[in-house]
Amino acid sequence: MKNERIFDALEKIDAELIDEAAPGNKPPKKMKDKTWLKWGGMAACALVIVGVGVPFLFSGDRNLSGGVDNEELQLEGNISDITSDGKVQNEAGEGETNLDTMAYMTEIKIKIDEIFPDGFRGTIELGTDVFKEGEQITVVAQDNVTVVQKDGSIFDYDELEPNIKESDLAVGNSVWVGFQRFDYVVGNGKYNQIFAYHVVERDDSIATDNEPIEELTLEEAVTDAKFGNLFPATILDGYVLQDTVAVLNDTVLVASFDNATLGDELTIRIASREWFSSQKRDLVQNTVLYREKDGASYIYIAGGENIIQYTFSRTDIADNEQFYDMVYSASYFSECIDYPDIDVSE
Amino acid sequence: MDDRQIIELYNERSETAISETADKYGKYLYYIAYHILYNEQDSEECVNDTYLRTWEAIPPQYPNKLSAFLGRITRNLALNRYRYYMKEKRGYGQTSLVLDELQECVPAGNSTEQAIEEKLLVEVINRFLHELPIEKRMMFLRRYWYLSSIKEIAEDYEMSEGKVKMTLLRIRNKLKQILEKEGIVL
Repeated sequence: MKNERIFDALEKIDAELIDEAAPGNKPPKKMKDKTWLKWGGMAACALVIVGVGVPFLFSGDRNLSGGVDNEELQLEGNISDITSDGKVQNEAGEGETNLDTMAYMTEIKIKIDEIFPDGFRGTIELGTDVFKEGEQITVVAQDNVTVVQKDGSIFDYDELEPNIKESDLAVGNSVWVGFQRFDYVVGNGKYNQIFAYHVVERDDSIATDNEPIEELTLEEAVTDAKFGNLFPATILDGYVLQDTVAVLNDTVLVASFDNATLGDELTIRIASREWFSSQKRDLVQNTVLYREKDGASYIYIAGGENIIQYTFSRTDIADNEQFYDMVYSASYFSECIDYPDIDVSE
Repeated sequence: MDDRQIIELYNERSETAISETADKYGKYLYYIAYHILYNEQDSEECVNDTYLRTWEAIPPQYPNKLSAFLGRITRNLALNRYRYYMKEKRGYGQTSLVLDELQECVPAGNSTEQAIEEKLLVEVINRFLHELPIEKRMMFLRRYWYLSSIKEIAEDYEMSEGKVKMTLLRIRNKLKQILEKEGIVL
């Protein structure tokens, strides 16, 4: 029996491997992924923008939240003012009354004029409809904010944040400040507040808008120099590509597929870790996630410097055994031995 | 007592060597035998036979890792006994399941080609295992060396049984790919 030959050969493998795997020995604990901390000293701070010469920097949309926690930070506009800006990435969709906790709002570029112990003041270099270019704003780190997320989990910013003074921010430097909206509950009231959730010094070539500049066929997508190694060579049966595979500003690859029989839509996105982390602060990787609102299932799978996201609008990844075949058909996974574990148990 | 001292006892032909081995490794060896045979009496006999074989083997041998040295002997004895029982249709335990799973690693090849020598096969498998991430390697060996059940591995590694199965499946597929890439015929 050929299988017995493998079985017998295993008996003679290196003694240290046998010893290592002995019952009772546990594998070393994996380090928690803190990729997003790479943004630097201020990355994990909860930053609150307070207006200096800018009348409204915060949104407290009463219609959505039923309350605003801090009148001083109230925005006279509303969320849709911001989301109508073409630069917004909001997973919950525009105009929804059920915005996801930590929905990504927008980013602006600020040139630092002055640094304080707990923040900085600067001039908006690249702004939006709400955060206008040329205006001055102040970014302040706010401690002791407890956020209750929709799933009931709680985190305190001061558990996470490094000291703003330790950051390498400097006068004259330009930084990007991203905004995130948090919904949270205090007592019987539900509140929301927008925080600047990260500050990052980065290459300006990173795209902030979604205008496609390159369109690819499926065959071209697989061989694309930047994203092709993560793009699956085999797409699930029954899913047909909508239009083309788009590469947006050389930063994000997006491809959508329809399955008419199931009424399902599959979307594939590939981008750098940094890009995804800027979209979602606590990026859970290699675990199937679900969007309560519409029952979509999605997953972020790490692959070297990049991450690939698969989203199914109606079906559950965990029910689809062919899903793994699709994921591992990408050359990155078929060539590397450290393919990811995909957890479908949750 | 550390392993070197135990080995010295064997070298001195002191019978304490066996009781010291039993104290330190008795449970470990019983675990290995039991997962192959699923029978207390047979497993105990295998463990006792292991001590005798070790007594005969040291000296002249001087194992670097006593645990693995003993474990190999127990595994071998238990598998021989298992194969004997299988002929008599009396097999139990994980062994037949594990062998079925390993069938998936068998590379496709022309039956007229010369089968690879065991030494080379061991080399390729060793290299493959060394390149695996430690958690996957440990999981693979828990299943295919120690013949632990999926449930047991899942509990020890604090993950779902589904994840253990999925991981093992992928490692088997990868091993098959490697064996094929190396042009190995079994």
